[in-house]
Amino acid sequence: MKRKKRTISLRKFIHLALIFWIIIGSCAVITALLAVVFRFVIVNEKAMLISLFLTAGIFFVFVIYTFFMGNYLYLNVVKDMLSTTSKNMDKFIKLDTVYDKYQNTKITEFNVLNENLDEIHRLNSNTIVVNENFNYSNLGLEYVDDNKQVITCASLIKNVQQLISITPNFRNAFVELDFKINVITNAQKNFIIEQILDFYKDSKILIALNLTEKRFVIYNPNIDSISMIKENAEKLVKNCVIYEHVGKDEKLICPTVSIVVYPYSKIDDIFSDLNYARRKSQNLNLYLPRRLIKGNDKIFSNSMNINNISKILESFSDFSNIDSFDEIKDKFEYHFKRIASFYNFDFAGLVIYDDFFACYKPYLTVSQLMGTKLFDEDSVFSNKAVESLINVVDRDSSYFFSSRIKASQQINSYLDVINIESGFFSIVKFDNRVIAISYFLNRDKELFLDSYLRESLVVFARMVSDSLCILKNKEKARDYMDNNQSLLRLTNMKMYKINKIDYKLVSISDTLKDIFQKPYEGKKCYDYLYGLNSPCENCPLKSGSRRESFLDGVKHLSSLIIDNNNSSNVQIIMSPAEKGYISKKRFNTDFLINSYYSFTERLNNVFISQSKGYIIFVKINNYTEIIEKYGDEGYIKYARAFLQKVADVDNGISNTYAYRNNIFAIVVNECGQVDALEKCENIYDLSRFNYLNRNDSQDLFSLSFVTFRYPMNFASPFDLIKEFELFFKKDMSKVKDGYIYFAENGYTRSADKTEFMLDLLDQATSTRNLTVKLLPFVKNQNIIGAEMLLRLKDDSKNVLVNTNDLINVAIKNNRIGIITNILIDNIGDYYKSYGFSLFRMAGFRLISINTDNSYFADSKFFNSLENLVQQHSFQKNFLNLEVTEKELSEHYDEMMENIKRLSKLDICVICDMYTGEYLSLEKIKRLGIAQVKIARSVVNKIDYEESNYKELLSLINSCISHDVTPCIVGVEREQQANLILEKYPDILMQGYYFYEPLEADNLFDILRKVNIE
Amino acid sequence: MILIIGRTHDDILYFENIMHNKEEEKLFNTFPLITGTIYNQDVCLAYNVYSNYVSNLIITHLIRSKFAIFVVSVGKAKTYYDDLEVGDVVVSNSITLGEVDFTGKNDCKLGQIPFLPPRFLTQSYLSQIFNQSFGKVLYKDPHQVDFISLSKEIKDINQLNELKANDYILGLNRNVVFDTESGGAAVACYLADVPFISIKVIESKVGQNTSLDNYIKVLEKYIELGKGVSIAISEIGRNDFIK
Repeated sequence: MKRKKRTISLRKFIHLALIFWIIIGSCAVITALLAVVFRFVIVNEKAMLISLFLTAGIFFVFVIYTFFMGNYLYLNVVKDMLSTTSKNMDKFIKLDTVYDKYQNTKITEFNVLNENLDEIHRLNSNTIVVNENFNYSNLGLEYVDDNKQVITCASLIKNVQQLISITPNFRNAFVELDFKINVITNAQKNFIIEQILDFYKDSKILIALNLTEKRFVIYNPNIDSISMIKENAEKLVKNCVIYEHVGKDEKLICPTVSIVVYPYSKIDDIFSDLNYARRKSQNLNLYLPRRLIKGNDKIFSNSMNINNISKILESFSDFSNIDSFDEIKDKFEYHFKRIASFYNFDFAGLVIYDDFFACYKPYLTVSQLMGTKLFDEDSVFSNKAVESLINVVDRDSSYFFSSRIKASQQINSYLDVINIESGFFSIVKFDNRVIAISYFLNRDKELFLDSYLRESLVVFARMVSDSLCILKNKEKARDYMDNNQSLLRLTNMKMYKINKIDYKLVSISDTLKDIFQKPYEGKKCYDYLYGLNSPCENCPLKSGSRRESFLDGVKHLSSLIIDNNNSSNVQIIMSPAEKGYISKKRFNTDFLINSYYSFTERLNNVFISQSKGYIIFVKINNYTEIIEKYGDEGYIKYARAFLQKVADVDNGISNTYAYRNNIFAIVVNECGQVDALEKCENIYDLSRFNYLNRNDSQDLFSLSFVTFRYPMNFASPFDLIKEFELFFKKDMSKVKDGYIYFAENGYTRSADKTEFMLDLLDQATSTRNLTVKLLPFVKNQNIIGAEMLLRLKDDSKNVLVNTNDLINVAIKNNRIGIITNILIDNIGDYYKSYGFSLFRMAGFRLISINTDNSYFADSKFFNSLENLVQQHSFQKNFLNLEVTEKELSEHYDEMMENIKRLSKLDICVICDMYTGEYLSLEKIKRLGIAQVKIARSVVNKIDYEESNYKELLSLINSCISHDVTPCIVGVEREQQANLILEKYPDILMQGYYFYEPLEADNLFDILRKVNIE
Repeated sequence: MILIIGRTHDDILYFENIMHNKEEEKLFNTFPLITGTIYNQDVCLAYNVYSNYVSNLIITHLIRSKFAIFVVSVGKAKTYYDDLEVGDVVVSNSITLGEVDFTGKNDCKLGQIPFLPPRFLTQSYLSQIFNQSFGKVLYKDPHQVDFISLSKEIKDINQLNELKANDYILGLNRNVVFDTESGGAAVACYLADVPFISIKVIESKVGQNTSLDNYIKVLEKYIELGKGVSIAISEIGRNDFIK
């Protein structure tokens, strides 16, 4: 039985504490009084002294009691109460539904409060917050000059959550005008405000002023489309041009615009995204992040229009059963009419691209206005109008305009021609071509739809679009079928499909219908084709081999050419046996690749053309096992599917040849050893599937690769072929399963990239020759630290192995510990040798290593770091771990915990490859990171792209203003360094312009020379 | 008084800022007017002048009420041929009304209103003064071009099919620009016998939208255009040639 937890009420507890306090206090007073009595009334010195000591003792206890009780009450009651309540208040404001609990569960009142929080959580999880739309009066906005549309920027930032809460059903846009001007005068400010208000003519928009930064943020709570907000912004800036006169310089200043849109940007990120957009330094910067938003926001669970959406979406499911455009027309018409009537649209319809006439024509027109039609049946739409529409649609292929003045200028003249005030378009694309446009239009009225109703129109349009694409696909499939049937007729081949279990015929080709001319439905194949009562004994389905049979007096071979494992049906092809239906010379009809004869011809050609390259022989070592298990047909099918994939890598079978039944040749012409190796690696990767049964990981091909270089010293192709034959006879045993063998020099290595890399890694770690290089951090021309880089060389290719690939392989195969140990050991060695001498004298104060979240998953990593720091008594923040911005954002919460743990060890985390795209600087700070390395992509073009330079400067300024140290990486040219140093002489930099990655000894020599001498 | 008209506020922004003793009013309660002095010359600025209809009306009214001595139209224009580039300053040589077609009357050319000339030529002395002024602020001389004025923005080059044949547009095959208000102003000035000149900056090719990048280039040129026009105003003030 569960024991009930004992609790005490806070009131009772305080009463008890108070009673004790009074008792102790009273005792102290009484003993003090007694001492007075003993001194002056009874005159007993001894008793007085005892009373005095007693008083002192009790008073001491009283003070101690008061102090401890006060402290206890603060720590256990007041502190918990304040911190938990404040956190919950924040969550209330953000409309979160999961609240923090009060920790002190021994107090009854806290338990009651916790129960109440549970109750609120339950209630809020099922409640919709409905706000009065577009009424800002209750928000406590700080207005400027009593204008109810002009507020301070601080006020906008403070109230952004509430503002969006008021209009959650709409897309909210934040448009910032940034004036690069020294001073904005009062007259200019008023002019700009007047222009903005006059431009939008909308009482719902707010303008937030940040005059110190010379920025105006326009909050637009309801935008129609992204393209329109962009187009409007372009027009608006032209209206807001101001004049500046400084000294002799005169300028007309046109503001730059940055735009972000909720819900593309999360509420918390709106202003940091705006900063990111501004940093792009174009004249117009629109930033719509594609990052996914965590679904714990109450605003996203608003569902008041769900009923409407359901109304629209009901009965759509039967769209997919249609087979022709004529058939679908009635259904579409019915639904278009319903939608037009529900939304009260004047016109609705569908325009379809007519393949025959190569133009857009109305396919369906619905009109709710009596006696008025929008289009005649023979109307033709100009391609120009359709192109304009393609330019203005949003990412979801739809375009919405609530009124004519809000429509894009690209289409508005066309709208005027057909006299339209408001509406919605959606385009349908198939094979990257617009095949249809669905439209819903109003002639004389505006159209106010919230996002939900609009989304449901989008969904409807998407369903229409999908149905049309299905139809197109069906048409394509029918064409394909027709082509197939024609091909079968031409080659006199027959094909039929049967159920694998009961042998019932599912379909038969026209060539069979011609012979039998009787219905096949429900018949079994053995009965229909051969007049038998039971399945044929030599049925290819059972034997896995071809069978011979006579059909219409002609000998045929039946085989399972097309067998999809996931299907319950199988297709059998019957080909006439007498004559070759495909030239045997050129193609191998079993494997559907080039034949041996083509191979010899190709070798002739390469010798004649004096080209050089490699012949790769792919040998299937376990083909006898496969044949035993699956039959010869099974093997052929397996090999065919595999070779098809191999050929796909070359975009066709042109380089793939049959050499023997289990050996295939691939000609890699005009390529070197590295290409041949990569080819083998790719082919090996393709062999890691069982092509007979994709779900089965057994019975994979066991491959060996032998490569021959040509022309070498072979005089003719025949010499080369002789060499092949000799090799296969004598030396094939040298080639292990899964290995590549170079006949030219006897070099062999694994074809499995992972295995090869692990081999390399193990070899390198056992011999300790995994190279570690150091890339210095430079500040004021001094080296103040270095980044450790891991380098591993692949001798076969004579190139460095990509470190990221290596790390990924190491992570997957639990070898990451080896790498981290090497790095950590190296750091330990360096610090042991130089930590208290050279490093301190030269001011070398940091070493960083590249890590990611997976490093921290290995518990040993933390222990190794702890040992390292303790063993060598590192100076504070000497060791730094670099984690990329993307990695930090994807594992934000985990990294927050890891960084806390690391900071206890005096280890810092540096945000690598920072652009601000994933994490704002506020969030970086919140993680406890004080240094960022600005991404190479921002730096590498600064000397010839002014916008990149501006972006970099802006990013550096933002970092400095957020008290985050920026480090510029990838500085490769003098011009780049000068451009940065001109503005920030003290900034931290890295790059080949200063130093390339150096060996440790080399670096420390340079350190001595540069920093000390 | 000298009249300067522009289509948008930014067209006349430079002049507004160097003007003294400014007074603002609204003509017909619609069109903003700013009067004041530039280099001690009385100048009247008008903007929001869209289309030849409005320019004709405003200038006719102002010539009579403000006693204008000459009229300048400033702003942006679009080039037809590739011989002009974005940011080039162009000065009118002649102005033709592009949408006018009374060729049914045999004595009327395309673009000609009956009883008026087929093209309104810019007074050569005025043109010379402006060219000299621009010589002081521009690295290269402004282009002398022929304006074709229409009361609409051309969104698609095919809208001009009626005016063109082979490589010619209204009989011209180089230095042709399009604008939307010079034509009306030219008619008004011709009838009142007041000199008129149109000085514009090329913003794009006709039929194309002006990108923000090009717009910024135009704004930079506006300063030079403004300086050139102001110098011409001061020159005219000194010589007082027209009075």
